[in-house]
Amino acid sequence: MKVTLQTNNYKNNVRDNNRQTFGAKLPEKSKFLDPYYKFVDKSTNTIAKYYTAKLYESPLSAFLAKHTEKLKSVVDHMQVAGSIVISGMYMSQTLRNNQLDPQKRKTLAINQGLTFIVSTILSYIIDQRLDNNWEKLTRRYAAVNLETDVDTLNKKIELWNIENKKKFDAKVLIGDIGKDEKFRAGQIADYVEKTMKNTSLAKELKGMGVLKKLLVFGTIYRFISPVAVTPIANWIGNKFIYKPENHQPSANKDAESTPKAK
Amino acid sequence: MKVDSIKDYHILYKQYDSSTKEARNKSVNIVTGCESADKSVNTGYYRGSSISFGAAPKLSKGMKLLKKINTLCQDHKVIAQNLVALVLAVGFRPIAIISLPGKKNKDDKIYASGHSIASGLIGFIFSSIVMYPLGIAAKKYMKEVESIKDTLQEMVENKNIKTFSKKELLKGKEFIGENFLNIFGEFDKNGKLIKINRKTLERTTSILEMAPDTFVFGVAKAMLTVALIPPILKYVFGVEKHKEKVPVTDDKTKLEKKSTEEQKNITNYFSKVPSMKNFLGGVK
Repeated sequence: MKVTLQTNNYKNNVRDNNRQTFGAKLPEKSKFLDPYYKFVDKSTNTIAKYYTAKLYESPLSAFLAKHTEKLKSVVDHMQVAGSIVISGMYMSQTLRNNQLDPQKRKTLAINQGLTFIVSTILSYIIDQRLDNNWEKLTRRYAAVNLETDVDTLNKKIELWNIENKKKFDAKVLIGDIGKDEKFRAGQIADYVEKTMKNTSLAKELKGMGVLKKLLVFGTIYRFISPVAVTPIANWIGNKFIYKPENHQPSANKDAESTPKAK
Repeated sequence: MKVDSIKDYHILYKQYDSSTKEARNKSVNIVTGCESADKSVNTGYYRGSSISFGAAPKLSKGMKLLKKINTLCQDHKVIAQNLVALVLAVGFRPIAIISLPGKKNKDDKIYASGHSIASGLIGFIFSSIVMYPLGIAAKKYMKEVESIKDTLQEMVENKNIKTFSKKELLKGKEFIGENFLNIFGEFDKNGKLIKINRKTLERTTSILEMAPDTFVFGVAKAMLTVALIPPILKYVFGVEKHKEKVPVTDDKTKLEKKSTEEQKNITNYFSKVPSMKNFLGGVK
């Protein structure tokens, strides 16, 4: 134990008493862009009132709500629909093109249709195969954001699914749920949304699922199939369609034969 | 008289063990000498405190970018779709097309890569300008939906409040109408509103959000891409697309050849006929 005499106490504490306080004002947000933000706010309010409200409460949305119960996800099907529209447009354009032979027009249209079909099938298969790996990635992402381990998360989700299954079976016995319905085990996104009220993380995890579909379908539709199909189409065209008797030299032919530059 | 604080005492407490990660995370309270629970969160400035401050975890740059992309994917799906298309069409595809083997088709390759760059740019710019305000409006709409969900949950949990009408729920809401509850609401056996069906709501809203871009804007985008290809070819690749030269067909030469041959045959024939000798000119 140390004991010191309190002499010269005032000098030692002068610094504490005369400490300068920080009295300056903190800078506020600038008001320069206020009229712009007000305009954006008002315009989005009008859009929400007269467009989104009418759209979400229209008979079209009622129809969609009834008939899309069995769909798990929607982003992939919408992308397929978009590519149907685009490839249909390209096919009709090639069939109406008067600068080409009628035989060549047919082959090009068939070529574009076949690429669409093959790429859709490929993308669905790859999307299904990548489910498990992407789920692991999302769990790692969630673990980093929640500051836990992946193993603890896995255990919690398993326990949560067991509880849900018990409730589901109880409801089936009572009769609230039909016997044909199957129990779907919840994944990390469902777990976070239902147990935690941290809404930003739930949104991000749903976004991860959307990102996966966008990446898979996007790369196959816009990168792999056009790049892989052009040399094959050229080879087929040169070998089978143009016999050496009827061969005519023409420049810039393959510019019309490149399918689907979307 | 000043007595120094008890903090300056050298208490015999457990030495700081830095061998394992678990031991490192177990902090010791200096005042009391007691071990605290595993506080891997509060390493650093607040080490040793028993309060967790709920601060945001330190994320690397990649994770922050991924966070932004995920929020974009969920809020503005169309813009995310076109962003993916932009990266592929402007970055990877031209390189892949030009690196394909074949020297004869150089012009075609350049045209195709110009087409892909134009389509990527136009798609992204067009859809981001048009769909961004629609996305913000949808966000505002969904905020009101979530407030309704919370009130419904409270009403169902507090079993004292048994009866509530739709009009009470929709009090003070600017955007939502009764039809919304009829479409997306789940009802009891007696016809009472229990909750809003989250999954159908998500599905239909995402379909309706993506529908304009897939079905309506495709034609406009295609026309704009075709218009944008020549400037890109000029300024990016330094190539101007010349008009196709009309190739000289073999038929013309054949005709010319045939005509001369035929003429020779005719003159030979008529020269042998005696009566025509007087008719034909030339040196006899």
